[in-house]
Amino acid sequence: MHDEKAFIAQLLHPKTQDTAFKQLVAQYSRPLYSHIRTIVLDHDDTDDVLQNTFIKIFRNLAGFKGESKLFSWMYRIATNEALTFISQKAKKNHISNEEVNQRALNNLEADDYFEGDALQLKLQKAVAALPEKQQLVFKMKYFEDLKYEDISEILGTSVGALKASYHHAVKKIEDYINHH
Amino acid sequence: MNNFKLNEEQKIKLGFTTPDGYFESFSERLMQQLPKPEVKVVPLYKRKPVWFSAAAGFAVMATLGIFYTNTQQKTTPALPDDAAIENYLMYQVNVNSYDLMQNLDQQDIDELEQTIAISDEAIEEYLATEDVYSIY
Repeated sequence: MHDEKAFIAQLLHPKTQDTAFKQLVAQYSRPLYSHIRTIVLDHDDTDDVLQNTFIKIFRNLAGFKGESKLFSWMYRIATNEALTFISQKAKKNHISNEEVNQRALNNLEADDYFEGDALQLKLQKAVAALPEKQQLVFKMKYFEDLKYEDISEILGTSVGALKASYHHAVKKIEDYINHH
Repeated sequence: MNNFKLNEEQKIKLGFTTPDGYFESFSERLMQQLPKPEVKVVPLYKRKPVWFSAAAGFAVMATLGIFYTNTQQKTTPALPDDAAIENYLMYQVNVNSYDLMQNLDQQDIDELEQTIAISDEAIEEYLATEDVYSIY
């Protein structure tokens, strides 16, 4: 915690801000990219959202109260930015969020930056069939290997509820794969 | 496939890839988008020698003296108009909105409220665009 406080102080001080923020970007760009991409699927969209995420992080650093870990706070911003991106795309095209996700999924097979096999693609489709919150929990646990305690801080859901959600998600996915 | 068990299978990866050099160039692209820190220019006070200040003071006094002898008749100074007063308050005086608030009476507040018209739509739009991450 003390190290994190010192790092945040460096992020806020004009003299050390530039170096500290570059360090933050270097450390978190890959994990945040992965997190966002599991939600929006497309690389170019992920790039947009990732930039917006870091810009939001930069702008709101002074208001970060330290009540959660810096990492959880950043993941929360990334999650919200990704979900907002989908909502805005839905509104712009006069379609639902689900339809936006379905279109992204349909484009995945032909996507230059997707090299998954048939099973990986099927798994994506199985996950996309889950309710939104359950999708998030599953992705963060299964694909990103985050601990339940960290997911709890990011999503604001209890560890118990997350474990139950993950368990249900796994069952539904297995069911989908066994029948498709 | 009839007996697929997620936890018994080897971990299925996402299959996502990125363009070559994406992360290496990401930081630079991002930093170009960030607002640059404002550099405050603080003028340095240069101390002038005493004789310079004395000479300047004498010149001012002499000018005023000449001016006074030339204007024997009393003239009432013209009062500044509202625009001049507002301009003075905005740019010349270190008065903040808290100070102004303290000097408003109930009548002033009632008059101000009547001139303010903000639609619910405008309020909603403001709230939607405002960053709310400072509550964490």
